[in-house]
Amino acid sequence: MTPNTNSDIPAQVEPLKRDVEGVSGIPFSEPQRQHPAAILTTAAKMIKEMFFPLVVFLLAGRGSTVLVFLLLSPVFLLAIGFFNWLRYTWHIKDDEIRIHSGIFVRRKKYLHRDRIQAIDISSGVIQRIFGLVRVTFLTASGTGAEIQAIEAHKARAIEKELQLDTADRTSTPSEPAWPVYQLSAKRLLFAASTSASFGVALSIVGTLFSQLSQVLSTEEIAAFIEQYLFVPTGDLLFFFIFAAIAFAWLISVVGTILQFASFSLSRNGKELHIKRGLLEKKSITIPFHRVQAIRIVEGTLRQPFGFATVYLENAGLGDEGLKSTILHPLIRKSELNHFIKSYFPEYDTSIPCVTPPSRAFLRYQIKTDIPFLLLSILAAYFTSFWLIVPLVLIPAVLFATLQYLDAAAGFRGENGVFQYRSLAKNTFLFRRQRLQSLTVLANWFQRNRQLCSVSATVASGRDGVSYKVDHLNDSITAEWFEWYRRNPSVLEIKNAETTLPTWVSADEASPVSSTSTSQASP
Amino acid sequence: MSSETQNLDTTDPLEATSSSSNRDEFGRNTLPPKAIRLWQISGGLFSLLLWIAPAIYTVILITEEQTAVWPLYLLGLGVVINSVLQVAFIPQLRWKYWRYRVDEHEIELQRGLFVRRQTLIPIKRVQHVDTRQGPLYRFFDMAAVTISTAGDIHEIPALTLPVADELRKTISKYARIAREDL
Repeated sequence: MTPNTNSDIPAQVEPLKRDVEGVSGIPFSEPQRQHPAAILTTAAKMIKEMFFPLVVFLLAGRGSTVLVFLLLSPVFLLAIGFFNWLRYTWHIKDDEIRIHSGIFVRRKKYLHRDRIQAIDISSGVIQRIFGLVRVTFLTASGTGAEIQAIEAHKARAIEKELQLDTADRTSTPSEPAWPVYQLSAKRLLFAASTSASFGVALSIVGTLFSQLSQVLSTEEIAAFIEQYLFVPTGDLLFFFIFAAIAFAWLISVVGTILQFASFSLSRNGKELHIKRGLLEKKSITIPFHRVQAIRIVEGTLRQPFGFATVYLENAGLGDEGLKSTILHPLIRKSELNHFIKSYFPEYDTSIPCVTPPSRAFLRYQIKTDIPFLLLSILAAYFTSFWLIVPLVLIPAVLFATLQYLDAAAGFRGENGVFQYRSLAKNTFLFRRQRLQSLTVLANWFQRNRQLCSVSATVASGRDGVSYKVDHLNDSITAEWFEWYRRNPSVLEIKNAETTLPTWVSADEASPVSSTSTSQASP
Repeated sequence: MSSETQNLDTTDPLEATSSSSNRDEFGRNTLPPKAIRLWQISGGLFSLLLWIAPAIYTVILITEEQTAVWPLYLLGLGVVINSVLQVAFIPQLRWKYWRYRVDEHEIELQRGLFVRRQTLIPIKRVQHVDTRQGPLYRFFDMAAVTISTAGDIHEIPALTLPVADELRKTISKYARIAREDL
């Protein structure tokens, strides 16, 4: 009650107080609520999740019910948001972020620092109106926890308190200046117009059209069909297909621009920082020791222009719940070597590789051509438009030839590489110590021709991911296993025919690749 | 430490119960012959599910007037062939090609009829090991061992219960010794 009667007391109180408030002056150990703006973000999130059913309901529902619904739903949403906010508290104790939440079902989530793979600080439209951020704690099993709305300085303090960031902050001055990658407006536009999300957008547009047909009455559709589709020219049908494709493309362009505008990638001694987004600002921090592998994807539309996308496999979920994180949305192939060298110096960029033997050519053809052949024959049978068979088959044969030409696999020292083509050309760079398991498999047809496939699994996303190169000479089986066993006598793949990744071979590193191949085949 | 592992090896029920029949020439373990019986029963039961298709077709054939009979023969033949394969051939062949080996450094699995797979899992990548027993497994007093890494899950099916338990203990012991952070 009476302060300063004993001189020892302040001295005792001082460390206690420091303990409670931490370095930043924020009382971390006391349960804290979010900024009240969290009420709005919760409501917005609910609307977002219910978007499609809502649209259908609003379009299909009767006038009076819709009106009542429109009047009541904001009250309802805000009430839920309010109680959510009221119940939600967070604090940090014993290196754990502890979150108590839930209106009816009370949840207590304790997440230890060691289990947090990355802290993602982002801000949506609502957060930015109030000058706030959202903090997401990513764990190996996905989003571990989330604070919807919090002041930016508090978010940074949390990050610091959980010490994902502190160690290198002290050592920053002595570090070399790492290059910062930014995406120019021209690149962004190019990335957007060649984006692979086009396919996704097309499916969304397709669903929208199908939803539309549910909403429109049958009479309207009948009238529509009578008016347009029974017209012998069929021009309008083609017009609608074309319009749908153009619309989907536009969506994907806008979507990609929104996602990757003001993209920047930087690093310090321990972490990668990715910042991107126009409306929804994202900032992702990934510690280097969590990086499992790198994958370079040359999309079919981008490859002819010499561009690629770089993905990162990391334990825990990547962007938007996808497995891999986009490390660089659009990079020129000629820049890749420098990029990998400066960001991941431990990854080798010239690894001796073997390619499929010529007898594998037929296997690639059969695997790709047969399904297309059968489908096209089926389609031709029903439409009696037999020209469709060669029209489908010729691209399939060319595509299978590309698959055959692009396949390669190899290793040297700690580094391994797979190159294969799914639709896009993939180059998968991995470290031996990061592989969770290695499998060599061969089906009956492959065994008959002494061929095999090599498959490697890394931890990525929630359950990990495997990549595979098909139809290699099966004499490499033992070599791969011995390398994976760390047998010191197996340093690099024998009888290498090429050096990967191919993007190094062009101009800058041709002497390197030629010397390493000559070393590989003595 | 070494005496401990040695002790563990000698108490290995595989060696204790039968010496030569459970190992191949490379010292890899085969599954117990009992596994064939288990797969015959489970394969047979599952293949019975497919009998629903010709059964439904028969009902259609009786109720509807103008239906062709030949699809019934085709379906019936397919279903019978499948059942025969599931009971008389596949379990034996599956058993014949299954091999596994566990030591303090790695787990090696080899299996498959049509697609033959050979997998190597370093012990230090093992996150946890479980034994699993379904109702049929319990009836046979058998268990499957599942090995989880951070990236995938592997299963050694149809081991006798003591072997499965011992294997689980062995792997988790080795994994504890070799553990590295992810």
